[in-house]
Amino acid sequence: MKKIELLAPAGNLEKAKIAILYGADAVYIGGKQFSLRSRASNFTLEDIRELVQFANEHHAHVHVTVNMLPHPDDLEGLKDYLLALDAIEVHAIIVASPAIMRMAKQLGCCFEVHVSTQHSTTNAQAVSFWKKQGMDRVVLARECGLEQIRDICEQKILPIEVFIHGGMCISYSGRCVLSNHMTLRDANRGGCAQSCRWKYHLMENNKEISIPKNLFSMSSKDLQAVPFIQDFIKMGVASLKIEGRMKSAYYLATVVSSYRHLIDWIYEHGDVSDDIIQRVQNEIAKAENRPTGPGFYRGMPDEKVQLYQDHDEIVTQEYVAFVLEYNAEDKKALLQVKNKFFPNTQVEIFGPHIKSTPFQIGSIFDLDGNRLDVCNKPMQIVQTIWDGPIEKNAMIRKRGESINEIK
Amino acid sequence: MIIATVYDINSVEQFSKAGIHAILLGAKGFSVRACKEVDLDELKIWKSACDTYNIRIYMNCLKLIEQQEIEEIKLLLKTYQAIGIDGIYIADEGIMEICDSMQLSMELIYQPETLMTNAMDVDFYIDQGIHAVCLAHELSLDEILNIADKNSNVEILAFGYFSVLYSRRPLISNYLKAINSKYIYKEQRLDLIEQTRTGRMPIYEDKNGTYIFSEQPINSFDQIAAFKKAGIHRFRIDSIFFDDQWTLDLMSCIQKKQRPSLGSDHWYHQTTTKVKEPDHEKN
Repeated sequence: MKKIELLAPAGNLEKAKIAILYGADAVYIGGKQFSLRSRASNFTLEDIRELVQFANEHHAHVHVTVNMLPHPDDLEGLKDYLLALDAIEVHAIIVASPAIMRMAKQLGCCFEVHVSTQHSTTNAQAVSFWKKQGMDRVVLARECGLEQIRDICEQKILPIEVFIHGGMCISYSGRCVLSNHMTLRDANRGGCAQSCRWKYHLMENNKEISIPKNLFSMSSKDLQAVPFIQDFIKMGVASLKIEGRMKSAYYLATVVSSYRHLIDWIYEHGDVSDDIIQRVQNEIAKAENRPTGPGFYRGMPDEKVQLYQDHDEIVTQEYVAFVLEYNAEDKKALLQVKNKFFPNTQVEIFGPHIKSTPFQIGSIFDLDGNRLDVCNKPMQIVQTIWDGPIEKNAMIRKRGESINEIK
Repeated sequence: MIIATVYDINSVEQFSKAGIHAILLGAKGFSVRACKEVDLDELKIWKSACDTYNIRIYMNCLKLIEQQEIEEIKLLLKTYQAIGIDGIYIADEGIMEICDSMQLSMELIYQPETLMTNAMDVDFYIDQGIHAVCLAHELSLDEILNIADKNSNVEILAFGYFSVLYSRRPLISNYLKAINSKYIYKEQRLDLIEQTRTGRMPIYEDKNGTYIFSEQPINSFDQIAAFKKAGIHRFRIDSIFFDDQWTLDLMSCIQKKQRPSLGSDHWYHQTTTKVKEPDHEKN
C-alpha cells in the first residue's frame, strides 16, 4: 500500500528545507508569478531549482502553486513559466484556473496538475469532471466532512488531497471577494486583506443585534485534524495538506514532525490510542498562535469553532535557538539565537530525528569564548556543551505549559 | 436576452410585456441566494404561465453539491428536463458531469460569482458544452470588454446586489449563540457595518450557508451599449432584497432610456490590485 503523503507549505527555501528535514514527503511553494499569498516570500525559478535538487536528495517532492485566478493582463509569460517549471522537474503544480490546467497539459509538461481547493470540489462527480480533463489530483474543499471524503475516496477516481492543519477561510475558497470589496485588494490574486476577520456591527435596519464589546466577526479557529489522520489513511486519501506558507520555520518543524511521527506510528502499529492523539496535540500546540478546532470533520462548525474575541490569539511557546552544528566528540554545539533565553535553564529540544526532549542547558559562550549571562541577540551564534540528544538542524524552545495543559 | 429573478407568478405577464425574456427561479434545496424557490409541483404551474407569455425558465442550482445529495440532484435534473425547463445556473462542475452522463440537453449557465476572470477560462467552460459563463463581478469594464472581444458567450449581472462572500457555515446563528443573544433570526436580511465605516452590506443565512452582498446594487445602465457592441447578449437582473415592482420599474427606465437611480457602477471604473501592502494589513 502506498503510504499517505504529508504535504507541507513553505514560504522560502529555508522553510522548505526544514519541512523536508522534519518529515514532509512533499512541500508546496509559490513562484514569483501566478501564485496566491503575495507576501509569502515567493520563490524565484533558481530557488525552485535548488529546492527540487534538495528534495530529490531527500526523496521528497516539490509542488508549485499556480493558483491565481488571472485577469486578462496577468496571463503574459504563463507559457514560458510552465515550461520553466517543467524543465526544473517540479513534481506537480496546483492550479485554480482551468485554462492554466489545460495549457499545462497541452504543452506536454511532465509534472502532475492538481486541482486547487479554490474550485471547492465537494463530490465525486466533480472529481470525475476533472479526471476527464486529464488532471492528476483534486484538493477537496475544506467544507467536506469525513463521510463525504470517504464516499469520494471509495470511488477511486483520482488521488484526493485534504487539508489537515492550519488556517481556514470562512468562505468557500475562491468564492469570496470581500477583500476586493473592502480594500480593492484581490483575494483571488494574492491580495487577501482578511476582511472577514475584521469587526462588524450586525444590524436589523437601525437596531443593532451585535454587542459593542464583542462585535460580529467571521474568523475561524485553525484546523487541527490529529484525531482524524487514521481515518484518512483508512479511506485511501492520497495526501494530507498542512496550510500556512506564511508560517515560521519553527511552526513548520513542530507541526510537520508531529504529523510525521503520528503517521509513521499508525503505519507501524495500527490503531492509534487517545493517549497518543493527546500527546501529538500537545506537541503541536507548542507552536500554535491561534486556537484550533476540527473544521468540518465533526460536522457543521458551531460557534465554538470560530473566534470572536481579540484575545483568542495566543502566544506560542517560545523558540529560542537553532542547532547549526554539533560535534559528537567534544559535545560542542553551535547554536543560533532566535529569541531571548538564559543559560542554565530548562529547555526542550526536538529535531528531524529527535522527539521533544527536556534538557538543562548549561553555560553559553560567544564565539570569542566569553561567557554570556543572557542570550538576547537574535541571529547571534553562540556555543555550549551539550550532553544529551542533539543533532544538526534541531530546534530548542523554552519549556512551558502547552495550550492544552493551560486549558 | 434579459433574464430576471421573480417572486410572484402573477408578475409573469407583466414581465413579458416589459421585455423580459426569461425568469430565474430557485431549485428547492439546491439554490443559493434565490428570490423564489419552487418545488416540482409549483414549477409545473410556473412553466404553464411562462409558456402562455412566451417566457423561458431557468433554475438556480448554484449550491455546491454534497456527495450525499447526488442522487437527489440527478432525479431533480431529469425531472427539470421532462418539464421543459430551458436551462440551469450552476456553480459546481459535478452538475456538468451529471448532465453529460445523463445526456441532458438543458442549457447550462456557469455562475460561480467569482472565478471567471479571463477569456481562456471562459473558453474552457464553453468547450465543455456550457451555454454561457457569468463573469466575476470584480472585473473592470475594460477587462469585461477584453474578455467579450475573445468570447462573447458571457452573461453580465446588469442590475442588482451581488454576492461577495459565500460561506457554508451558519455565521449569523453561530455569532448569536456566541454572545448568548435572545434575538430570534428568521433567515431575513440583516446588514453588516464595518466598525470604522458607514456602508451597509446585506447578509443573510439559510440552511445552505451564509451570504454577504455588495453595499450597493450594481447599475450597468451606462455600460450596456458597450457590452452589446462587444457581442454580449445575456443580461441578468437580480431583485434580491427588492420585489417584482422594482424589476418592472427598472425595465420601464431602460425602455425609456432613462438611467435608473438606484445603485452604482463604480466597480467598472476601478481595478483591484494583486498585492496587499504590509502597512495596510489588518489582523
